[in-house]
Amino acid sequence: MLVEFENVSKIYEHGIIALDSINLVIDKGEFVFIHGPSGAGKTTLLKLIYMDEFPTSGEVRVGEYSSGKMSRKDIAMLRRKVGVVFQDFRLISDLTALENVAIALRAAGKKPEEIRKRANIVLHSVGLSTKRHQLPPKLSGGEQQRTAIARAIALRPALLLADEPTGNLDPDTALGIFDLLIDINRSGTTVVVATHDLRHAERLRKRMIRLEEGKLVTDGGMIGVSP
Amino acid sequence: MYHLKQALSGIRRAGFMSVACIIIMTFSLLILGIFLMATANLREILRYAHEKVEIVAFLHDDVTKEAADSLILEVEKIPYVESIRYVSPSSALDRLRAEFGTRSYILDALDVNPLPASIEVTLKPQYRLKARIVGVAERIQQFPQVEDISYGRGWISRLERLVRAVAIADLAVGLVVGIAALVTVSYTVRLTLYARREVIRILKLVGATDGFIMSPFLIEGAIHGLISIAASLLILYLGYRVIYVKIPQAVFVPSQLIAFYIVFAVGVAMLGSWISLRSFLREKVQ
Ligand SMILES: Nc1ncnc2c1ncn2[C@@H]1O[C@H](COP(=O)(O)OP(=O)(O)O)[C@@H](O)[C@H]1O
Ligand SMILES: [Mg+2]
Repeated sequence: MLVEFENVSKIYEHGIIALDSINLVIDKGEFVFIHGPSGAGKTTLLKLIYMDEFPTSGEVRVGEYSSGKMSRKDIAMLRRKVGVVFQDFRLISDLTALENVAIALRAAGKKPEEIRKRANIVLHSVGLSTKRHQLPPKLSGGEQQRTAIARAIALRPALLLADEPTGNLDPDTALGIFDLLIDINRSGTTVVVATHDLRHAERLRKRMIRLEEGKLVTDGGMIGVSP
Repeated sequence: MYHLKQALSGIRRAGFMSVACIIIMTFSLLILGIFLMATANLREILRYAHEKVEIVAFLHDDVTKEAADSLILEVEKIPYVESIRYVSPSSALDRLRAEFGTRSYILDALDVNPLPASIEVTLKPQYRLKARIVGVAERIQQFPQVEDISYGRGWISRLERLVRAVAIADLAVGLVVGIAALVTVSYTVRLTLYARREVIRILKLVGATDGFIMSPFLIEGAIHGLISIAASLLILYLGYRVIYVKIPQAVFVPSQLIAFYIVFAVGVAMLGSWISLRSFLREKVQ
């Protein structure tokens, strides 16, 4: 799924300019880091992709969808093709890992049989088979994030967005999560990761987009490494 | 199935508030039910009164049986007239005796029968309205055989007015009760919504449609409505049985009105949930 930002600005109330005239293309199958200091506009950029926010000016296109003409139904359909994970996992604490994954499938109207099968497969693919009947509070941070990733990819999205996915995790666990994201990308899913933590990102030698105060300042190769 | 399960767990979560909501709704609906039942009974009285409405034309003493018969033929030609009955002076006296019952000896004191002959005219049911009755009565009054005329007087039109006023009161009470139920349900469902806020956000995030997200809450509202209407109908019916023992003519709320009453309760309850839902659905995921 192609993501395009065409001259996109986002101004929140009180005149806070979160994004300023962004032009950006993310191709199918890419792995992209969005980085920059806190408050640079990374989260806003992701929100514009999964259409939780809309540009104040300019246009965001995600696959066949355009920010200019989204009905509520369109937004729901878009989100079945775009998985999102967050720093704080966003799991439902009184549902097991398996049920947390199943919710995405159920919301998309899948049949119970298919839901059970697919939820188990996805949990297995993130390495959580043995913990599938645990409630989130009983899981480690890394396991919770794996569950959240499993939920995000349950519907085989074309695009996976991750907003500071390792922000709450220790470095070793974070490494495991990045490996998982790389795996998911290898299987064909476009992955966009927003992070201000470059310790791991730099090693991975992926496309880096740097935001500062809402402006796109660099886009391209790895920091410190010529493309 | 999923939606129903979610709805029931919502009600469990809301616990005390759910019970309070159902009690408030039950009593609001009961008030409406009492008004509906009062209306039904007033209508019944009015129907009975209308059935009794007839025009009685008292004939002059010197009118012969033949002259009376020709009058009957003339009156029969008047449209709206359903039936005409001739009452001779002696049968009028017999009726009076029956009415006096054990005290009919009073009448024995009379040497002559003082009662005039009369004809009793009944209109077709659809024309038993005050205005029609007056019109027909005035025409009968014109005939020379007729001395005096009498018909369902002021009280019928007073009753008609009363029934109209009560019907308007029903609407007003319905409106107030509707708003009370709406506020109660939307408040209760709002509590469930707050408790499930995170779940709603996640559902939106994974691409659930508004319909999918709303269903459990609408069902929750509908269940509140159904329980409340069932309870208030039960209380109303028990009340009716108590009255029925003393007044066997009393009627319960007619069945079409019960259907409306149930639809009203459930509809208002679902609308209440929907009002709360709308604002939640507009919230952002993050
Ligand atoms: N909903 C909002 N309302 C107002 N201002 C916001 C909102 N969300 C973010 N901002 C502001 O927009 C700017 C960019 O925020 P954000 O996109 O979260 O940056 P980052 O994720 O890079 O830290 C910040 O100044 C932030 O305070
Ligand atoms: Mg952020």
